[in-house]
Amino acid sequence: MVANIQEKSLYLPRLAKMTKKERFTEKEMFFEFRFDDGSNLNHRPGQFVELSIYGIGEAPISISSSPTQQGYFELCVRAVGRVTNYLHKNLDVGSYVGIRGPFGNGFPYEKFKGYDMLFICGGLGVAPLRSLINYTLDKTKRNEFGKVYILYGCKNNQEWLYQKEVESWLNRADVETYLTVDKCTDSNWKGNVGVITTLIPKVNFDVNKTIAVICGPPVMYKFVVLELKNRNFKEENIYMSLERKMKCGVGKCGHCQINNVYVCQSGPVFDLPTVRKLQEAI
Amino acid sequence: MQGYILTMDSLRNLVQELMKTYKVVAPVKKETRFDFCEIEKFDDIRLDYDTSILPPKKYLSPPVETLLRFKRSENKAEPVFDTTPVVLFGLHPCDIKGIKHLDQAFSENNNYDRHYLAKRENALIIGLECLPYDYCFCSSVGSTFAKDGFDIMLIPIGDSYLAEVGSKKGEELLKRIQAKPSQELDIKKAEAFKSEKEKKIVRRFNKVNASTVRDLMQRTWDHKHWKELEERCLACGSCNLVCPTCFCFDVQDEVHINLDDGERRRIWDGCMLVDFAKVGSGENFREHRSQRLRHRINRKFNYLYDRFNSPTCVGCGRCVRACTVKIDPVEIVNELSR
Amino acid sequence: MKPRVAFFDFASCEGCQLSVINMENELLDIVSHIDIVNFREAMTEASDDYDIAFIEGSVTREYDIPRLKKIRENAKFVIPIGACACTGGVNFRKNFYELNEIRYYVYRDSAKYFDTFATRPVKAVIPVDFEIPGCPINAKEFLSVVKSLLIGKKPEIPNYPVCVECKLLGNVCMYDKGEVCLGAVTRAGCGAWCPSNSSGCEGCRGLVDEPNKNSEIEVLTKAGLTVEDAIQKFRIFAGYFEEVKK
Repeated sequence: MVANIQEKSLYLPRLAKMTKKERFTEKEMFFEFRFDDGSNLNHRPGQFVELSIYGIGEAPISISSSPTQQGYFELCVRAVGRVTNYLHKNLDVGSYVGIRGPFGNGFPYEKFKGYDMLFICGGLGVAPLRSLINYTLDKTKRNEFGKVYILYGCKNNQEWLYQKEVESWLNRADVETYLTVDKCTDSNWKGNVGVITTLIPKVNFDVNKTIAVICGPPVMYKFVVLELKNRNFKEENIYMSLERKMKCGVGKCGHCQINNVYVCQSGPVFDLPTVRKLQEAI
Repeated sequence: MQGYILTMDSLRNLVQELMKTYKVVAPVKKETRFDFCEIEKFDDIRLDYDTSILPPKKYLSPPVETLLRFKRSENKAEPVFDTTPVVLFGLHPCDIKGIKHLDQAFSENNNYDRHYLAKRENALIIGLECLPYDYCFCSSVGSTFAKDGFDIMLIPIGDSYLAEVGSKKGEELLKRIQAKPSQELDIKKAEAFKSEKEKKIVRRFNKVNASTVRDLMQRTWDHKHWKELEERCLACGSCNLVCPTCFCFDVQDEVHINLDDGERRRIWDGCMLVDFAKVGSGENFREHRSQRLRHRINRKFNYLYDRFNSPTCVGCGRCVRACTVKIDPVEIVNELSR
Repeated sequence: MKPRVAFFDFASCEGCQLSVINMENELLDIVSHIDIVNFREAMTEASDDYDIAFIEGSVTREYDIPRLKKIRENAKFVIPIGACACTGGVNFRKNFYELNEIRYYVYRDSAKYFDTFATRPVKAVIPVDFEIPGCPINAKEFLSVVKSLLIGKKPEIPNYPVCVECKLLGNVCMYDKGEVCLGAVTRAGCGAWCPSNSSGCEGCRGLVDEPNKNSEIEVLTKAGLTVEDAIQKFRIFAGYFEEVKK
């Protein structure tokens, strides 16, 4: 028995104040939070928090800001459940929410140094990847990475998240950004139409020195991996953040388990060789 | 196996002594079955129980457990830790092993779950050696005997019990009631009881054992038997909920009728239930019953093996007992290894 | 301003509304948060200005339809309560017979005065926001739904079977006592009410998602029922579900 090592509850959140709230789409909103003592969340890109509202519940949300953004953190939240709907409808700037975490491993960005970066984001998958994208593009970090390619796909032209930032990526000379919509529902859209995999053949990356990072809806992974394999991408250079039901965040509640792995502890970021060893992963 | 001798009278003394300072929980009769309950007197205890409806873990990790009490208007919450001293009396070796697994699960990776550990640190475990009943299969998973994980272990020897000491606390307790040290003959009798137990265990894995069952699971992930079981399984979750080593939980908030005070609670959950691996967006990562059943069985024999250095199934047989279609880990393992 | 709440009934025994009235200990607390403005079983005043409408009973007559549509227009939230309103309840059994035949069987010579059509739940006529199943509804669950609505949280009806609640309570399984029980395929939320009182689950809350009906029928027949009886058992409360209609 280990006695009295830690007298506190793993499940007690600390309070964070909502300092910005902005609607992205019908279903997704952007939030900025700060701790009253000004402290940082101290997260790694790719990690997540448990966002808690007393009386309503808790929900796992991936952190969308880069750790280089100090004094606050940002979340992009889709209203799908009790907590997220309540956050959208009932809480405003100035409200407090509970935060536990950051949890999970995050991206091993130390290993990516010197590589070109290929980001493949599907829908809401841009939220966690934006953390790493902004980290990579931060002026203090930019020279640690080579070329940056961003592939971002949405269902239609109404679903873009972080639209202003996407525009700034498009305008940056040191970033190649490719956008696509699954279906063109809007005559204003002049870009690519088709699922995200249709963008991959357009990118002229060097498989010997590029890291691919994937995040999107569960159905996307298999097809993106196939397409990357068609381009002779090395398996060990493919990373992905997997979605699972992260309830406790501390490796106890079991909901996020894939085979022998608790995603909230060993994930949500895995390299492809690890994913290959897990049945049911993608 | 040095120990002490307890006659029925001294066992009664021991329990009565314990009841002065502890909440004493022991197997009692419940309609057609037995279950662990807080006792009012020694005679409530059924030392002859086969198994209990729920495992004794319910006193360390209750079916519904308050984690936090909160006040919505003030955004305030405080954790709830239950430190009531409890004696878990009459636990069979399989359940003692089950609790050892929980001890590890709730303190792994530097994530110390104080809600569990507070109860555990205030619990005394008094084991009771047993003979097999219709459903158990402990020898196949290496949990026939408990080497540790108890404060005292009682082994029936005729009209008395040999009390094996498992901790300092246990020894002090036995000394306090002035139990007599055991003699060589008592120890022989205790050993005879244990070898009789081993002989009587008839339900077992045919071709694998506690350490090779994991390899079997890894080889048979795509076996057609999983699909066959899908036809029978009701996915009712009963197997999960009576398991001494299932520790998965759901968390829910409940507010008081004043709409301000409330509690955050955890509730036993089960990987057999349809929503267990379903995420907010609607994606269900184990949609089919066969997938969920395979997950449960693999979790017991394979997935957690490296962490616990053994199967996490302790062979208590409760899952088979509780299953109305009698899905049986022993039959599954034997079918997969056929 | 406190939300205004109304109760309505259609074809039913009014037992669900009675369950609400029976919550003597909590009723005063509840009315400190809401104004009950229409509740035929409990008060004489009746207003058409309400936010939340609780509806008991199944829809069995043509002229129920405009009445329901009116309720839908008036209310922000429409919440059917009880088996009849949610799935047609026992009333749905008549749909397994020829309509006229059953009408004359029940009303004999007076049948011509009683117009009726196939029983349907409220959601088959108007969109509903949420449902509280059960025959009758469980007062604790009703209270929990009301509290959720009041704090702006989507109420939660479990998506797991009654077996789960029985296990959490440490009940002796009905099959261990030689009784039959539909708990394995019936949606929980009642707190395993019947099995906790030594009576097998009759399935009044309707089926869980993806029930394994065939396997459950095998369980019932092994316990002594004929296949026909097992199917009839499902039809008592779950006739509305596709799995049982087949």
